[in-house]
Amino acid sequence: MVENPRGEYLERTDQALVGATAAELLELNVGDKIALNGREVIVVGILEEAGSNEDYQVFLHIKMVQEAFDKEGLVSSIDVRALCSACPTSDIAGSINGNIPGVRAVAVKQIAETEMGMMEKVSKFLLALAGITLAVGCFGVVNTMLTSVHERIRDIGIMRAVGASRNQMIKVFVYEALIIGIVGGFLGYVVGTLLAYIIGPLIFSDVAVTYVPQYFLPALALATFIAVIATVYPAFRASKIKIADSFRSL
Amino acid sequence: MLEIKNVSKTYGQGTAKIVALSNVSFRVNEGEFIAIMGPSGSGKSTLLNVIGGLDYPSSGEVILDGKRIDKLDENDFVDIRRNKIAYVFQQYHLLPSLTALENVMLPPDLLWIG
Repeated sequence: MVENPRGEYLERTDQALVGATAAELLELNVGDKIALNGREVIVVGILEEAGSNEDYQVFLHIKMVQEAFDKEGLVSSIDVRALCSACPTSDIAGSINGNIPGVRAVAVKQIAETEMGMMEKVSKFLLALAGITLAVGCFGVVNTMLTSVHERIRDIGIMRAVGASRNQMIKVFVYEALIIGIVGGFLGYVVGTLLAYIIGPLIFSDVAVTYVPQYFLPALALATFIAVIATVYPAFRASKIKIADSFRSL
Repeated sequence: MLEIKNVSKTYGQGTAKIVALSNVSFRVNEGEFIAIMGPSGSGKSTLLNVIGGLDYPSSGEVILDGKRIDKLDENDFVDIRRNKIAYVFQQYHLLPSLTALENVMLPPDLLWIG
């Protein structure tokens, strides 16, 4: 069972043990009284933090709880612990199911696996969502750069008329895209990380947002790459326009 | 020396076809100063665009210092624009994001950047 560093163990029916988190949330200390359906129990011990569900629970004498809630002789669930390290818990669950009618036993490991599976699905879903967001963002960048190049077709014509080569024109836009990509990627990274810290806890209560510094460089590189790719094509096309046409187009 | 031989320039096709230049021929000797005059729409700008390498003629030849330049590759034309032919635009065509000085410095800058 859980360690009990403060107070004593349950001995009488009017006593209660409180999990560490529950004690904190309910502001309970050893000696405090808890009202329970018209009855009163005294907190005799606070359990040490275990990092599991038990931190949120209050432990009471079974008889006391059954009487308080008019459920004499009834239980809703029983934890069965096998005292062997390598025995298959699913076998034990199976034999309980076979021998006691009306009871459904599930191995904790199985529950854990199911929960893990769910978590995996959720994280895959979130990843897909992030991917779609990224794709949409890329289209936005491509669109912006296309417009930006198109708006400057006349400028491109002027520069070419005074002696700029095609390659120089493409270079101008690639350098611009590099600067935009690096600055935009950096700002996006900072704002995105801050938002994760602000919004994350609102959606998943009590889940800490982990900061992964390894994502910084890939994020920056991706933003820059997309900006450059999105610029090179329209710049290349713009550099092919006849100079006289570039003046006429506006 | 600049020589223009039977230069024509047409825009569009079919019924929308516009003839801007039709069989223009003349010669400008070194040191000569000439003015081309004509009413609006007579093709002065088109002619200058063709000579300046900003546009290509539909037919005919443009010969600069003994070399045909009307069918030059873009990259070779860069050299002519930088070193041989200067073009002052009617509307000036300055880059609004640059200062006056920077606009003037642009051609030599382009030369240095390479």
